[in-house]
Amino acid sequence: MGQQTALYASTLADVVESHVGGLYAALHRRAELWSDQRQPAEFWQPSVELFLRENPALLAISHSDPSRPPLGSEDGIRLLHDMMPTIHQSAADAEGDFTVGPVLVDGRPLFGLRVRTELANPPAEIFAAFDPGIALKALLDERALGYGLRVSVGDQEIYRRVPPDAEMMLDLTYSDSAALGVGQSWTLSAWPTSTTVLGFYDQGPLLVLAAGLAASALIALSVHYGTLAWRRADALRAANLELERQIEETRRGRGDLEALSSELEARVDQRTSELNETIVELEMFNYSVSHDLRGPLGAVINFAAILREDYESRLDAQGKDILSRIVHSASAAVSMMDALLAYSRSGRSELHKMPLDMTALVQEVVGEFVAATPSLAGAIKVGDLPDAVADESMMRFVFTNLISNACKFAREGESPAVEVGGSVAAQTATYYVRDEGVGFDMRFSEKLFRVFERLHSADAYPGHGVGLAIVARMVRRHGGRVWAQGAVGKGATFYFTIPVLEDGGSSDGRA
Amino acid sequence: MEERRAEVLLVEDDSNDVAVALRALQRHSLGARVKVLRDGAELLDYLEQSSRNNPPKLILLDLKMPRLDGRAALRELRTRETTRHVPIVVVSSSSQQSDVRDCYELGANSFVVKQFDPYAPGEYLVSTVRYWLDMNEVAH
Repeated sequence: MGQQTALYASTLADVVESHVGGLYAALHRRAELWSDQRQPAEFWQPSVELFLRENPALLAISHSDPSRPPLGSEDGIRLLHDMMPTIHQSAADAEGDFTVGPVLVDGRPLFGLRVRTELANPPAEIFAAFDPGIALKALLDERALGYGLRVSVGDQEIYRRVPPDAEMMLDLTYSDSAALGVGQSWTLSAWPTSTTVLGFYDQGPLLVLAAGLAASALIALSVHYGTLAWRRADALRAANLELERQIEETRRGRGDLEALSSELEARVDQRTSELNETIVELEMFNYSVSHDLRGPLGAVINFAAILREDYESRLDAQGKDILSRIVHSASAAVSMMDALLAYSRSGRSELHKMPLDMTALVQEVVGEFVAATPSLAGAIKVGDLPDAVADESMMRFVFTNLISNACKFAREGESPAVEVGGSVAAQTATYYVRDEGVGFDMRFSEKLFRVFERLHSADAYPGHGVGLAIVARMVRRHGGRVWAQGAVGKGATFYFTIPVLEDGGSSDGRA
Repeated sequence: MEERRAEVLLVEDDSNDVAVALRALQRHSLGARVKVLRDGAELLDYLEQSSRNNPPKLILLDLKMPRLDGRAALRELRTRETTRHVPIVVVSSSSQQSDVRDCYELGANSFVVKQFDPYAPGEYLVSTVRYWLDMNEVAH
């Protein structure tokens, strides 16, 4: 710190020296100009006044030529006047053309300056009153921040600036000398103010404090953030654990779900395969029953027939009646077997879909009916039917069966009146076969399409109750549905639909 | 020796069916002798012994039989040189699509479902046999 103050003092001394030296040099140059006879006399006054204004530390300037009156402030001229004996004294002692003499005028430390120039003819002398205090004040006041300053020449103090807080630190004074070029040595003393000292001394503690603060702040911050981070980490870890738990739970849930789902699927698969097995078994049973019973039943028919043929003469009327019933029943049984076989086949046979002209198909069917039963001519009206993509043989069976039924169930004593028609709506072709026959009770309409279900006695209306079941099965295999409307004595209408397929698809649904 | 008489082989295990068939066939003069064999194995044995110079004119073949059934017999008959061209009519209770298709694929010439006509028992066989014997005549 001492070093720093010494350096400060030395630097300020240099500043003072160069400034004051500069002022002296300028004054010297001016002195030559002001003494030049070639210059008009009018040049003296404004030039000096300008110079004085530029250098406020110069209080007044006078010239050895009486034609050039002294200039400066009134007080300055007076002071200069007072100083003149001392200046002359000094000049007599000094060599050279520049003399500075410290003068105490009214207790005020002033310098008297004398500049001699040989360039003028006759040689001239310039005198100036210089207040170093003003010069130093202008020069040092601004630079004295944080320091007490004192400039002295010999024991004569010519400048002192003491900041209010500087006193207590007087023992820290450092001094340096400024050689002011004219043999005068100025001593510049400087001492730091308490603030500056604090600045020096407290820098350590401050630094420590600051560093400590900073460090502790940092530590605090890091602790804070660390804590926060840990807390966040803990929270995150907890959240993570929770999330993992949830994920695990979800996964377990999903696993359970998947397990359940696959179990369900497996169960469905099993059920499906069981169902398929059952269906196959049923079909096989159906088939083998039909097939295996058919033989023995056929034998009953055959031998009853043979008995009747070969032993007719030995049977009485009652015996013949019994034989007739045996043949009839066995034949009915075989016929039912065949119907059952047909029903079985309708569910198993392949579906060969193709675009069909349904109107033409129905007209063919009707043609066959009329060929077999000429009385039906004109009884069956066929409207315009929408085309369909369907299995031709199945559609033929469906219409044959429905038209056959419609004719069969005509009211007693009336000839059949059957109408076949259809329409398309919402990607579905709907067909109907309507009759004005005996109709049926709507309460039992569902039974119509079940195997071996009948709404009318077999005696009155022969049949096995399989035809409509086969119809329903065939329609369902096409993805359509079948239903009936009717009322007892008021006819019946059988409807069925066939989906209109753009792609003529070949789905093979099994009913 | 009734050597030149045509021979029709009836391969059937059901005695009822055999009885009805024989009764029906014998009531008509078909110009052929009917030989009954109880199953496929018996059929093949019979053919081994007898058919060197006199293959049957027609074979009526049941499907469901013990030992060697109709299908196996059919397959065997069609691989043998002596019976390769003998007309074979499958007579079965089955009207199963697969049975019909299989039999035709194995080389059957016809498939007839057993019929039970209370007014003409077994008559359907008579027309069948007559048809194939006539076909034989034409072929030769």
